[in-house]
Amino acid sequence: MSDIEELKCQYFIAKMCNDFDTMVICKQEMIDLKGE
Amino acid sequence: MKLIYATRNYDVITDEELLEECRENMRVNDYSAKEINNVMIGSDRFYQFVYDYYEDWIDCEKANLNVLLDENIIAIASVGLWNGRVRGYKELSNKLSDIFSCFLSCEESMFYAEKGNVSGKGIHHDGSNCITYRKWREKASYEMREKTLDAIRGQSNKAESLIKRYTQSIYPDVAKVYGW
Repeated sequence: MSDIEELKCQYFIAKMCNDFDTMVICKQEMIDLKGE
Repeated sequence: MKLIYATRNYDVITDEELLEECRENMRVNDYSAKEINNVMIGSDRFYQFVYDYYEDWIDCEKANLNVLLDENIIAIASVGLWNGRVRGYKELSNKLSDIFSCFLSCEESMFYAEKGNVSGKGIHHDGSNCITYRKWREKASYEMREKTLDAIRGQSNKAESLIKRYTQSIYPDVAKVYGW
């Protein structure tokens, strides 16, 4: 699984579990990855 | 948000409200006015009342949710460990009250329903755990369930579609108990 797919999966689970801190971190990491 | 249970440090009930409850409880049990007025926030009697209050509350909710579902429950979690956050799952029985078994290592825990799902939060010395409880759909075969669990573990990029396809919310089952 690619990094972005891994992050999307992590983001979805965090969203489902109302884990807002992780959602923010995942979102930022996704933006950083896309920026690269 | 609809609350099912929260431990004391979530401050769902203020100390003032607990003190009032404590005094009311003493009134009902024929304590003298002097004894009732002597109870203050921080006194031994107050702390004993608070301890009993939360014990009774969780026991009561365990009894309320002593309901068997048609399928087993799966707890999907975002877990805070000392070395970072990971996602995971725990397979539970089909008894609704089993949802309370997921935070045994947590000092504080809270169970609630929000956005059509039943969820829980817990705080422990390394961080916090966030869980959403779902149940398997009847049509989900053994292979489909294994595939879904693999996806949660991070071995597939299809976690979202698999969870939606093969699991469903337990909110309707809990709502039936509480009349939401």
